[in-house]
Amino acid sequence: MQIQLNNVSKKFGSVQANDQVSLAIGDSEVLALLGENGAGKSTLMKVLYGYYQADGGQITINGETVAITSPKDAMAHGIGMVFQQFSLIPALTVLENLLLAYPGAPAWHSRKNTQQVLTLLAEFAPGVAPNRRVAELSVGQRQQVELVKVLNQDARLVILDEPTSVLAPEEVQRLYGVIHKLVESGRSVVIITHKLEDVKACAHRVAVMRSGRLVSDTDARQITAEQIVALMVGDTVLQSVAHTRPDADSIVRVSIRNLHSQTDTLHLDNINLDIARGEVIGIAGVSGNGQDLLADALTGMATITSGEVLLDGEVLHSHEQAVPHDARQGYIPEYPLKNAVASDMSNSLNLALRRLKQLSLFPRWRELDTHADELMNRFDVRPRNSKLASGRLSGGNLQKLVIARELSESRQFVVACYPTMGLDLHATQAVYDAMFRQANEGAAVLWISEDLDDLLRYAHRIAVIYHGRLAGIMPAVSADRVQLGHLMTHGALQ
Amino acid sequence: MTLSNLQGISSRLTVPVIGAAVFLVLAAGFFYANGYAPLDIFGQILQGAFGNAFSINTTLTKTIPILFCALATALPARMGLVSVGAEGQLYFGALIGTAIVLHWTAAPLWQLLPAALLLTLLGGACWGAIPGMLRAGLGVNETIVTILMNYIGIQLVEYAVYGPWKDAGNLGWPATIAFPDSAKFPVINIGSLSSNWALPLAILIALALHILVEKSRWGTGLSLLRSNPRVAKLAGLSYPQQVIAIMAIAGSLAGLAGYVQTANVQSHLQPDISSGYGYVGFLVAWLAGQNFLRIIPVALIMGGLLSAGDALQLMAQIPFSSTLILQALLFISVLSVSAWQQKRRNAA
Repeated sequence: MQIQLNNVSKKFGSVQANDQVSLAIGDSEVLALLGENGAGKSTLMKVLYGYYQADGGQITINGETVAITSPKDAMAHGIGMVFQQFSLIPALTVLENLLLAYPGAPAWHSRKNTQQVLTLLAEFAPGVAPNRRVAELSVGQRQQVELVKVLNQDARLVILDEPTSVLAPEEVQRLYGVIHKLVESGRSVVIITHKLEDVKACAHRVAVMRSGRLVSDTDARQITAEQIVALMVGDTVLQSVAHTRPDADSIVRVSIRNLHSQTDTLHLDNINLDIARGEVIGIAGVSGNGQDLLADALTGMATITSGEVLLDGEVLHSHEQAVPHDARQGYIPEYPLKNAVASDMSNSLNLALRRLKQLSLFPRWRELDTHADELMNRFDVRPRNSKLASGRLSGGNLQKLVIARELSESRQFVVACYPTMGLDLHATQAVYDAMFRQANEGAAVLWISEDLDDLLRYAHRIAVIYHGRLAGIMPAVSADRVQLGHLMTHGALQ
Repeated sequence: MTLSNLQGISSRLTVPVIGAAVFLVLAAGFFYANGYAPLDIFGQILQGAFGNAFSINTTLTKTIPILFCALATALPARMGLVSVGAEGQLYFGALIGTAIVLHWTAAPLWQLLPAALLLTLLGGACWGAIPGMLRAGLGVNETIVTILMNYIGIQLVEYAVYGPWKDAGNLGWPATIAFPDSAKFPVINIGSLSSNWALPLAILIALALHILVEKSRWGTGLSLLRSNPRVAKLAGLSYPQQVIAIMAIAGSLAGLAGYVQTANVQSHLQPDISSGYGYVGFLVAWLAGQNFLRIIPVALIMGGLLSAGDALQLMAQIPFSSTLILQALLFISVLSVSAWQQKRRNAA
């Protein structure tokens, strides 16, 4: 199947998301569509999938101009898309979910079409039992089910929207395998991403977008990673993040002793860890192993059942006391919209939030606005409107706002949970810069991430969390990916 | 005045003006369907509410408890709590305030009234704090608890006035002894208009709450707790503490309504000190969008409607329950118009 997009344009308000983009997708081809956040890559693919209507341009399939006005039209033309947010029903089983989306929706399901679904499932999602409930599946498995759902509707072209950003390293490898299989079966794949590893692993062709335009479209073998980065970020110079080193005297700054905590589904089991002044500890692990609970317990947000967190030898949080608002600590939680800001209140207020108790009874709101303007300038939060409700910021800008609040002042203990999730290269760097500057000034930094490469590059020591306990800890210089991967998936070294 | 100023004012007036228009149409339809001439009835309602000194005085008397109860509803709403407990808090506040009046009957005004008010505040606060504690400690829904506790508060007063506090001199009528003047709010007379000091007190509290909630750090804290209790922890605010404190303050405000009704209106503690003022106050608070300034005129209008209801019953022979229907129509019109405006704003 040959698909050709001709001069597709799409505008949202005053923002030109796609500006006369022309792109071809060939038979049995993996096209990697790269770009920073907001470059317009998802928009372009959503136009092809009928989710958005283009303002201008045409789409041709095998030479014929087609009108795709809804995802249903796209499906009828053999175009399917797997989104970052899945649309599965957790309470139903895998098979039920797949049959629900059966093309043409027969009144009842014969053994024949059920068999077809099972065959596809066995081929593209081995290890996912059809009678399991979706609620029990891992993120990676859900993604596979979502993919089978699309294939079951006879998709000849599968669009994957940032598929690897939610996956653990092992699952990423499995996904690459699935992509190869799709191509072998004669289908085409578009993978929207901003990860260079994805390109290396499976792309035949690379298209790079920047500010709504297509800036490059070449064979994957003829372009280097450095060239791709340069194309993605454009003229702006990307400075490399400064490496930090912990203080030579390695005085313990934060000491975590026999920490226990629990939620309904998970418990933290006897966490012990000392973090020195200026040290960056990376926490690796497959998501869902207690990372968020660890971050919450360390900052006093979650109830500690026993044990304590000491800062400079004094108890900071324990079962008896928890001071999440302590000015010596900075916290960047997972999902900032839910966990870090009051989304219907102004940026100005959200930036001043940590100091709320120190304000006078009748605060000078104008001074807070001025202060907020300064911070938003310094941390490049857009739009620069201190009165705007924080919930209206885009994901990247919201994260920058949280970073501005938590890391603009000097802290002694910094906890960051997936601080760069969903951010582009620029924003990611800004986050690392702010975080490691704190370490340089003597803070103990605990950094939870799924990006092993970044952990290996910037952390001083890496600990692995597995089923709510620390399965191992090693200096980053002597750690290797295989060892870490095994710890992450089995909780022990080989 | 600039154009944007004008636009601001016009968008603020949308809800009151269109809401009132919708209400008048619905109310006219209701009266017409029941065989009355709508315009005549509207005229009589206006007459009954604000037509002469007597009707204005009645309106003001009814406005006082409504205002207190509306404040008691709006304050918890500012931190996201839906309290329907003003009625019970009103009764329980009155009950506790009455206790000291019964035991200290001969004390002078400057001792008795403050003491009684203090106990009323305490009583209302305790009653209000109970749903607050259940919410804070166990996560029990405050709306359900406050509704259910209303019945308990009312029954407790009935127990007191049918039992231990019944005045034998009343010949079987369930009520306490008559309150001495030293237990009542002093009367204010301006010309032929007459009310008591509870009215300026209520207005003063409304103004003070308006300034505190809109401008102070404390009010911002309430908004923060309403928006995201988890994030409020990062600001050092404790949701449990604040829930209990706010529910207690709200309870004491509603308690004041009960005390005014008991001391100044009925002169006795008796079973029917409130004619649903707690619920009317709830309507007022939500009609005014939990804005403490807007609550004042809305309470006055509701007071007028209730006082007109009495007059209509006497003069036009319309059943009093039509007042309840009018209240409901007003509530529905204003809320649907404001929901419609909200939807339009979101779409823009």
